[in-house]
Amino acid sequence: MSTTLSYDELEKEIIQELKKIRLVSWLLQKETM
Amino acid sequence: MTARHMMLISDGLKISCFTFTTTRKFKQISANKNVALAINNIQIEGMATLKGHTSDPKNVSFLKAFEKLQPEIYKMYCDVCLDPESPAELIEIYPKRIAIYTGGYPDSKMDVLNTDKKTAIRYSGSDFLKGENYE
Repeated sequence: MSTTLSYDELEKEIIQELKKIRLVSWLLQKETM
Repeated sequence: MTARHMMLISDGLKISCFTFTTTRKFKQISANKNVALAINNIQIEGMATLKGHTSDPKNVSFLKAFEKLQPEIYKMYCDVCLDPESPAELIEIYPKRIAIYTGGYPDSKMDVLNTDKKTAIRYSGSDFLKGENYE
């Protein structure tokens, strides 16, 4: 089943998720150094 | 197609990173600007833009964000990023499609944002078994 969502709402949710990237990328960087 | 870990900084939907022009990664992106990122449960497909040297005055906002958001990594790389003779290049990625996958079968769902078409669609339940062409 596919459902149309609010573009603005999903965009906001994704932006919040992307802000967390820096924490993850730092952990990954430490693991690979 | 190759993959590696990158330090990423987001600003809205825009994602920035830097690399050295001497790397395979830079040469590959120069030849093909279609890039993909996999971050936890997020899949991103987008277009990379080469923005010039990290020390270029037009890229000062990146260095400020880098210092603020990734201070420990910034300390390691600030000298090379600020040295105009170094091969450090800023890359910006503008996502065209972002998908967030959550849950597990049979309650899995994927929310897909398409920035070109300005659509947001949730695929859930049995969609994952149909082999449909997701937007």
